[in-house]
Amino acid sequence: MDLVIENLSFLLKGAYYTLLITVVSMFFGLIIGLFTAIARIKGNRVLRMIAKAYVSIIRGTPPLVQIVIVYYGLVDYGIEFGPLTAAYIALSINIGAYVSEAFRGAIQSVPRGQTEAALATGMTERQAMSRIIIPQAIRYAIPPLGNTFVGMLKETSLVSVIAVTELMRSAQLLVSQYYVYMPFYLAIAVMYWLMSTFFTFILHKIEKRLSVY
Amino acid sequence: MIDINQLQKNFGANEVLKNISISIPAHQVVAVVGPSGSGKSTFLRCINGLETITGGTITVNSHVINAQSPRKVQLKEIHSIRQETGMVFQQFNLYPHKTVVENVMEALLVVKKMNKEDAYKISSDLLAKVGLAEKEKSFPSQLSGGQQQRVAIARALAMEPKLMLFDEPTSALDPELVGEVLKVMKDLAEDGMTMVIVTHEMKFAKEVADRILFMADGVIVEDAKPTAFFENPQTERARKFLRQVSEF
Ligand SMILES: Nc1ncnc2c1ncn2[C@@H]1O[C@H](COP(=O)(O)OP(=O)(O)OP(=O)(O)O)[C@@H](O)[C@H]1O
Ligand SMILES: [Mg+2]
Repeated sequence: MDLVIENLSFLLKGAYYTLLITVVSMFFGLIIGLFTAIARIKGNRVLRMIAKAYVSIIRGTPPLVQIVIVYYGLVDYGIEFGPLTAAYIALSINIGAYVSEAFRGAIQSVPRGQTEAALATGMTERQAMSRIIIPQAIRYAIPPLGNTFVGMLKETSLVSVIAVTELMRSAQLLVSQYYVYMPFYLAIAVMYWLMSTFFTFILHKIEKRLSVY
Repeated sequence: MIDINQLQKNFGANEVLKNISISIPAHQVVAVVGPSGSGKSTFLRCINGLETITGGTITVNSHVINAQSPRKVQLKEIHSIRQETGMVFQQFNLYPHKTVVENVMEALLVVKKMNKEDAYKISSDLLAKVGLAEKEKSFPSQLSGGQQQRVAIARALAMEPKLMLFDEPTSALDPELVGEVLKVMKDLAEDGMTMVIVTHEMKFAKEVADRILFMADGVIVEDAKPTAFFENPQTERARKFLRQVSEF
């Protein structure tokens, strides 16, 4: 226990990276996911096929494999990223696929009559989408997005394999320095749990606020 | 105002509208009646392009939807028609995430690119006209069905349409709320609006419409003045329909 307290600042730095990676990946994942969802619903045949393949491949392969492909695999083609950049890229692409499914479900749960009403007043498909459908879809999408977000928080532990010193790797480094396991692993478990709970709480707040009408 | 020529609409193998040709002059109020599934809604939705037509042409104020022209050309014409046509739906379809006045302002801001103050002024006046001045800041979910439908009418009127389409505007309402909506529609008719109304309200059709279209199985079976249609229907099909609705 003393060891944990002694090294708390090191662990907190790890937690900071875990958060950073989660938030950055989520941010880009949201953008990728939104466009993928729109491509799947409104795109032409080619666009729809590409989007569908992307989602299927990402969801059908382990995130760990995706991470090592981006970091180690691409080097074979002369594409090299730093560990942190590789983590951002791999996880953004990963999360984008899950986000797109959340958005797609949400967009489709907005009744057809909403689009028709918007079109009937003279809006274009695009205006109807951005002004009427997406604002409503976001509300439906919050719960699944929240799950994705918390899932991502935990999945960031995988990037420890490419030497990003986030929370998981911080603990591993301490373990190899002091040759004791339990205190460090317990400590990070608690920290993951605290972060997850905190975000779940925030998401509930957002959900409540969005359901005023 | 509306010129429809040999309009056909199929859903897959199902022929829903069969060679409909009809003209509706400006300022006319037309009620479309007929049994369920006869194609009334589909007919109305073809006029503002919510359905893609299979054959024929639809002309509204010199904008022509031709089934033969490329989809892109059709969409352009449809877009022009929609700017001059308001539509009111059975289920209201108000935007639930916007307040009542925002619902009315939306198209003015987005389609007409009007500034907020002007759009608000127009919307506020329209809401007063349909008797909902004090509900501006409410959300649709806080209103009764009749109030929601009046907002939907105000929303359609905001674009200053030359033509209004109504698809069973009172069918989703509790009986005691039907009157307030019909009243607003009657006022519109008296102001000279061109209106096509799909309705089951025979009394209203008799009173307010200038002309009745009776549809059955995708065909306009009778096209007559209300008194002629209700007192002296020409076909057995229409007589049977009128017997059925009078049983309610
Ligand atoms: N989107 C659609 N896809 C397939 N078939 C459809 C679709 N919309 C309508 N139909 C079919 O077209 C026919 C006419 O439907 P429509 O809704 O126009 O009838 P209606 O006269 O408005 O009936 P109601 O009085 O019940 O509203 C019906 O057989 C219906 O099943
Ligand atoms: Mg109908």
